[in-house]
Amino acid sequence: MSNSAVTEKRESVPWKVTRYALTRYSLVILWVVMLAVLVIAIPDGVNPLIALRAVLGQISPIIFLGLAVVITMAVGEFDLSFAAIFGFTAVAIPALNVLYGWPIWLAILTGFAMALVWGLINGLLIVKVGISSVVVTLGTASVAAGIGLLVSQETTVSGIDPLLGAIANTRFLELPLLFWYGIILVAIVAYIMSATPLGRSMLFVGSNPAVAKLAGISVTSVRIGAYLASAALCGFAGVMLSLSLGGFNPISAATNLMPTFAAVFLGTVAVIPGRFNPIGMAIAAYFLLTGVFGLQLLGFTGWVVQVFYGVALVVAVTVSHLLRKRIKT
Amino acid sequence: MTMVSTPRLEVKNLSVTFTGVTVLKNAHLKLMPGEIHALVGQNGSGKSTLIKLISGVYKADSGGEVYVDGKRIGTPVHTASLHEQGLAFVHQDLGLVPDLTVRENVRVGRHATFGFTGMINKKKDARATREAFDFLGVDIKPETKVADLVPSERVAVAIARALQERNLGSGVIVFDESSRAIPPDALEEFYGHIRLLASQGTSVLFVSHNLREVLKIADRVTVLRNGSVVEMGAPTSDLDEAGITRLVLGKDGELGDYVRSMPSEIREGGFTLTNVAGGRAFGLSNTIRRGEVVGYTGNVDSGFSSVGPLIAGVHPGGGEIYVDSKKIKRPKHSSLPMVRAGVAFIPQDRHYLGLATELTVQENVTLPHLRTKGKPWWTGLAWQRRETETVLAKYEVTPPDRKAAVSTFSGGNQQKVLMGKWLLEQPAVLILDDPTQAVDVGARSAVLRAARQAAVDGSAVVLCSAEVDDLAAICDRIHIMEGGIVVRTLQQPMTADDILAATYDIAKGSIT
Repeated sequence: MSNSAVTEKRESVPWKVTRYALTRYSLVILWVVMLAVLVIAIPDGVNPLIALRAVLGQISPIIFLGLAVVITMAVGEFDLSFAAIFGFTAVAIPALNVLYGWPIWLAILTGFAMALVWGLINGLLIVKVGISSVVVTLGTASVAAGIGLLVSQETTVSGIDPLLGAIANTRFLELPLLFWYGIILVAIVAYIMSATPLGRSMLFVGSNPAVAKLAGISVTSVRIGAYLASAALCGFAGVMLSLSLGGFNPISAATNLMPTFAAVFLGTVAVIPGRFNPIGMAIAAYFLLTGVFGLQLLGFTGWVVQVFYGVALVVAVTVSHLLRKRIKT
Repeated sequence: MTMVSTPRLEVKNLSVTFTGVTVLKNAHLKLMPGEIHALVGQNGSGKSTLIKLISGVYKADSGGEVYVDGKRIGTPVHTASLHEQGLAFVHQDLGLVPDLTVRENVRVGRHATFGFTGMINKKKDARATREAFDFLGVDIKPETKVADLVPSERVAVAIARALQERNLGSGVIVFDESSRAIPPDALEEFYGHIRLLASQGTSVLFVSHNLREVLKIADRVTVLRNGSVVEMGAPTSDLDEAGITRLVLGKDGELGDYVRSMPSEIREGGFTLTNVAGGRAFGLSNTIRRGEVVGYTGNVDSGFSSVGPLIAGVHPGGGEIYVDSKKIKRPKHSSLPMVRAGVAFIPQDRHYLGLATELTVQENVTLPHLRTKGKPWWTGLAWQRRETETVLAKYEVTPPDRKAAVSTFSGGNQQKVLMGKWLLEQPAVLILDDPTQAVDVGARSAVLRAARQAAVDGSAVVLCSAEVDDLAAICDRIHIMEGGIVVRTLQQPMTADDILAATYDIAKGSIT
């Protein structure tokens, strides 16, 4: 023990900084490398700044869904229904507004409230009744998607007042507000998880619920709360996306499942290695979006994207598993 | 033994280290043919680890050796070839599937099949099953369902499975706490099987926590304590129950007399139990005043080990519990009200209940205090750093690295961290459940001193333990349990021997 302590002290400062950066921010370095490669590889000589802006400016729910999954994963839960809850809200709002003529504010309120209801159903069945989270959330996902189809009469509904899209699409510093909402929410969740007693409670509930309980933490509330918070984030994403696009295709929600899981797990190798963390997730999400964007520019479509996300997910989980093993010894 | 012969099973220098913690150090074991050899030790002494090393479930550190009939079979031991090597294991739960027939249970993994279709040849299997029972001289029909058997027959099925296709009188059979699964009225028959096997020449390794049983059937005994063999192959004819208990509990570690050196004054308030019952303990009524250390002890089956989790509110139970005369509501599945009332519990199972081992020392130590020392919107960094460093220094945790994961520390240091976690803020009640299990000598006295200090500082302290030296070192009063109830109370002045004698006398009186 004392030997390793001595060698650690003798480590030079630049090497320490390098090692710190390598263990925590290797994903950022990799991202920069990827951007550089893309700039070189794409024949027309794309302006790197424009490329970056295109990646960051995508109208995508992944950051919000990623936050939702980070929260449930951090407390040791597993949620397969987040994409369907998001899809439900995103579909219900245009459907209620356009097809049924509800005022938009009521449609938004109902869509968001329904997201919370799905979250509550998840939480109660899993935590209070004690049913396997995989089974419950798989079921909720299917039911939410089905009812979404019913409400939208199985078509892509559009026709929300385009002016309302400004709430997400208005550009600030050349990027849409949706991007900035994501950044703000990531910052808030990251702060809660790392700097508040609530965050510490979540950490312990996820790591060892028995210890958390003995320390006076209400494990049940933390777990149900996580499902509710997760559903609220999915609902928020649903509201934003439907307003931004003016409508939503009920089928497309499920395509977010893989990229979100890939981002969440890849995020565990960054910033706080071995733990589910929002900032790591956000870095990973943009890393993956850059990859897909690059592949599209290079002329690859369809199948490559699926392979890319699949590989990223498995590689991320493998690396994260090995990291955890190293932390333990 | 005057005759020189090859040992049936010999283990030399077997050690194992998990995440930097040595769980078993240089274990030795030697079984002669036809011998019933007992392996005893407290929970966490390393006996099940030793068995798992011999059976290849755990991988031993390099350097260890295992021989059967003089032939080296490890390390590493290959689990798949154990049967050919002549080693057979009967585990604690017997490993039977009740819904299947005796034949299916015995022959699992070795089914005889028809050459062409690969279907199971039931006739051949049934014959093999009957042959296996002939060893034991019992008659059980192969097509009976295991669920329909009486307990003693189930034991025979487990033994038959372990010993089938074996020459009479060869090999070693290991019973890993098997008698726990057997009801008392079937035990005699079980012992009969064991004696029969030994008389045929098979060696029997008998792992047990029941020392009376060991004295009754074993020829020799090997004792493990804190991961080391402290007695190898002592003839049981030279031992009585007190002697073997002494070997198991041990007298290692120079413990001070903390009752004398750390006098405590009794204060107002404390911890009151009225008719508390649960697990294997009943009718617990007691008042532990602030400033007092009270012990609960007894032999392994006495029910004293239910007391800690029960009175800490971790296990559900009946009766009433008061902290400083305030009645604590105990919902069925929550110990929350107990924690909020200031009851700190140091559980026996440090990894399951005590610490989140993959998180850091600081995160673990500060967890119960975030509510009082942090703000809802900000945990605060300075106090976390300060308090954690105080804990590391006060309990001499090595290495003093507050940002290291708990799993990287040794058992003793983990226990110190666990104590520090709860004693950072003075608890009203401190309950310790076997806190010195599998910790080294230094950590042991640190843990005990900290517990006594908590009483000096005004906590009501309860120590549930089988370690008589621990009890004598810090307790003002000790309750000895038998059959789930308190049967005797000792007051200071008392010595470890007094406690042992009190526990032992009662145990002897209950032999039927």
